[in-house]
Amino acid sequence: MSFVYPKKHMEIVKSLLNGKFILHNDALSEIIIEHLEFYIDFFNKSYDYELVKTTEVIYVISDITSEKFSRSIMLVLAVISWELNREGKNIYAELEKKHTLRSIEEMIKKSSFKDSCRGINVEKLFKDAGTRNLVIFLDNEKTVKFTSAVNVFLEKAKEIAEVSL
Amino acid sequence: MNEPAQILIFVSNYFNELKVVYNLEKEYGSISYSQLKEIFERDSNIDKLFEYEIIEEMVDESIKIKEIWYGLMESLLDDTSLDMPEQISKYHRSLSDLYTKLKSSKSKNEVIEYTKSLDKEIGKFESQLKRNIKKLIEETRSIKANSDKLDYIQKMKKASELSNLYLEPFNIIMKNHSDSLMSIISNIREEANKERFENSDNILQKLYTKIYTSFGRVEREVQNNNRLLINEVGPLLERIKSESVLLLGFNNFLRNNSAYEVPKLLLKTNNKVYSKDAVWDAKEVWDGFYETQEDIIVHSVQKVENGWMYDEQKYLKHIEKVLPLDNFYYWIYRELEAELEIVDAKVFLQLSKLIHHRSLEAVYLDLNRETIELEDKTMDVPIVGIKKVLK
Repeated sequence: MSFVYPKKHMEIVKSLLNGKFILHNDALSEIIIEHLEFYIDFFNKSYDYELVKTTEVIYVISDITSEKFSRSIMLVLAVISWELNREGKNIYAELEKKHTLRSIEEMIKKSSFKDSCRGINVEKLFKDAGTRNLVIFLDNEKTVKFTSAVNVFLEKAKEIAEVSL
Repeated sequence: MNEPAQILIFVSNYFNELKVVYNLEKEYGSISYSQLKEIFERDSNIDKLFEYEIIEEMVDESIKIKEIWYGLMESLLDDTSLDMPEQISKYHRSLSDLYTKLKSSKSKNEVIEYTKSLDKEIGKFESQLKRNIKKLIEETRSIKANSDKLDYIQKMKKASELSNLYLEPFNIIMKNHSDSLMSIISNIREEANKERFENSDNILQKLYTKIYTSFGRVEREVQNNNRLLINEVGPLLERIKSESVLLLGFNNFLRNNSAYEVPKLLLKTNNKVYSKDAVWDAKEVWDGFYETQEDIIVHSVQKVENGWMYDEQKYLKHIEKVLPLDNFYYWIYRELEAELEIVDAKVFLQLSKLIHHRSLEAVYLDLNRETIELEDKTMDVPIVGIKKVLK
């Protein structure tokens, strides 16, 4: 009897260790779900990481978190949502559309909360977001579209609201 | 009888004053004569209000705008408020009563009376239903546009309130079960449809046809409105609730982001856990071990040399074997050289102590000395012989 790894094991491990969100429409997602217990155990025993599976994405977390990136994304999303609402737009529908990096920068610039985003380099932040599958780049790297992984951050905002209610 | 056009001209001329009356009644339930006198300059105009039956005096002398005019004002000022679902559901009772009475009618006159009443009642229901749906949609859209500048908690509360107070009971009223309002309307339409063909009386045929048409229309209206509520108002209210929660959370986060945790993510490191082919190498090794079940022999670990140590007993035994000895220091040198190869002053001097052992006796043969070349020093030593102490 020999030990057989799930298909595309290396790609799965590499993606998750690189901080990527694996989206549910991704073929890798099916393999992970099929071997969910193995992967939960694998990341726990090998790295002491926790494998998280939501209805939209699969990703791993550790106690040493990528705090700065996560906080910056939360701030930018908060400002975008705030501005979209101010313009009377449906936030959820708008977040599904594509946005140019310039338009995001503009939204931050004209927002009354622009100070919260001071020091955030939008281009660099979204590049990082791209490597994590949080956004996909379109049209010469100048336009982005959020993937369903954005819900991880939207859910956090809702949690914050629940705490305040 | 007063000319209708004349009444409308009067209403048109004094519409602003009537608006004040309407607002007072809306706020306090009725108005008094003295209030009317303040609003209208001339008493003759107040008289006209009574004469044209725009207002009426109640038994307690309070004054009210007559229902039909009140409704008209409400509609003209677009000031309708949502009826409680109970008000809509009262039609359940009235339509059902009239239907029972119609079914048990003995005379033609009775049939005429109840069909006419049914037609009137369904007309009222239709307009009230339409007005309510329109208002519910307007209210929902107004929350969405936030024209009242509500904050997120208020907005969310309002959306929940509309949903709980109107939408959910409304859906229950409209549901298609055997005792629902919808079923009664449907039954009346069916009955009217049958009668309009089967009844031999011409007048009744016409009346039943009228009922059939109006009930059929209301039925479609209810179905359409229900669809509108389910497809549009419901999801819109849900979205408002959900968006409000989201914005409330983001708003709090923006105001003091350091007070809140953010989603945990993996910190990307540059540590390469894998080489390109590590997984295959690991698999090969794993499989190799997995299939060969061999005993593993663990060899005893060699004692690590900690350097030379003076062991009196050991060297005493050595020297006893060669006694008597005529050059002690030369022996030391040869002994250490054989053991360590390299002899330094430190070990040489340590082993020299052996000469003092009580079982040995030093014999100084002459005064000659000799030099011994050590690794780190040249020693100038006497030539000493050793013999065993005789006990």
